[in-house]
Amino acid sequence: MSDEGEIVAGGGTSVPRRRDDLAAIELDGDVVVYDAASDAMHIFNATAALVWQCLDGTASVEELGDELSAAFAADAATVRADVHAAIAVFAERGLLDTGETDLDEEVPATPGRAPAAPQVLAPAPST
Amino acid sequence: MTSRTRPVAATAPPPSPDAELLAGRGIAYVSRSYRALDFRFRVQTDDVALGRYLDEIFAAFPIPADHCPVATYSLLDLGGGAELRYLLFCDDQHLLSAATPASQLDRLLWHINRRVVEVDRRHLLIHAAAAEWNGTGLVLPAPMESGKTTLVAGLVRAGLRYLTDETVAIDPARGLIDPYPRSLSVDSGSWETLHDLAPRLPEGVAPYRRHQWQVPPESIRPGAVAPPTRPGFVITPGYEQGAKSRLTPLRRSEAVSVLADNAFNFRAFGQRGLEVLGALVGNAQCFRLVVGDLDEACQLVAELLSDGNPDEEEQ
Repeated sequence: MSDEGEIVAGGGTSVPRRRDDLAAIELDGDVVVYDAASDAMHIFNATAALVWQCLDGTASVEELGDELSAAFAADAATVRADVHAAIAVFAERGLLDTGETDLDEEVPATPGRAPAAPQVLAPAPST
Repeated sequence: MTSRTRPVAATAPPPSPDAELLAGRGIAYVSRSYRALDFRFRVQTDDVALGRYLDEIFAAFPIPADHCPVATYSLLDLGGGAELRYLLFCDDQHLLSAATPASQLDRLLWHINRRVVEVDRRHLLIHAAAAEWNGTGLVLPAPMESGKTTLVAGLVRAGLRYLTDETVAIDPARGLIDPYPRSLSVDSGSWETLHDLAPRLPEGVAPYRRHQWQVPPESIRPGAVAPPTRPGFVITPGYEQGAKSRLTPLRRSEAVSVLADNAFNFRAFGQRGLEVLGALVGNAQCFRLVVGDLDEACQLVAELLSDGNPDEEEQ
């Protein structure tokens, strides 16, 4: 665990939370997240989507793992590993609320500019 | 959109006052006024044959009720003495001095397409072709040189109705594709495959054609342009020389990504853009299409359309 208040991916007692300014839709179990600030789109599979939906800032990583393993009657260690992996990816992509304020001015829209290439979270569902 | 269209190599406009250069030139022909999505324009020229030809090229665009254009393009020929004799203006802005009439026409069509994208504030605009069959729209998003125009030309030739070969305009309020039925710009690489669509150019206009055919949709078949249409399929095509044509299911989440990647103004829509695309694919079947042979690919699409019911198992 790191300094207090900082979210570290997979840190068991940290309480991760989705950024409020992201757009997200669910399609066939996948979740598509659009980050307008960076003009990037992210696609997450069903496992990651499930974790994503739970990141409302009320449960710790450890608690999420326990809740999901209980809900799906799945092996707790496996589920925890999946939760940690998913949250690590969310954090790496800057999709979690770190409590920091970005004062950079948003780049204005440019006609024809496409969002960054999407990336699909690789691990297959195991819950 | 500037990065997806190909501007003709253009000579920098001279610093002379553009309006003065334009003033005093003889205008022999003024076209009708047209509305391409939300961009309204007309063209005037000192070449009557060219003017009539342009009216044929633009014939599928609606005419504004008030017949009032927003922009007037002028195509002028300074005559044999000038090296860069072919001039293009948009209102009094000098856009091009070119050595060939083909460059002049290419630039005109490119500029109109760019303005269509720039002025539109209503639609989510996607770099895609589109066609319609029995009230259902097919959106064919793909980067440049993927064979969108060739595929949609083949589909229209096979009986589908035409919506666009370049820019799909999604009206977010109605969830419909509004037609942008510009003439199909068929690259020379597809001329043999689409030989039966070769336009018959009026006398005197042949020098204006170089690398592309401009094929008015109504010349493929009368009544070939579709009305606003609800999309039911998203099919992203890619040409692979020598490959066997094949359709493979595409996850809807991936289809959203493909559409966003090919959108001209996705960012301007912000979060609403994702909702619009989500609604679009939520009611659509989504596929990748490898196009090796055009007829084979069109047959696959035709079979897909005739199957009717979405196969959710494959999504």
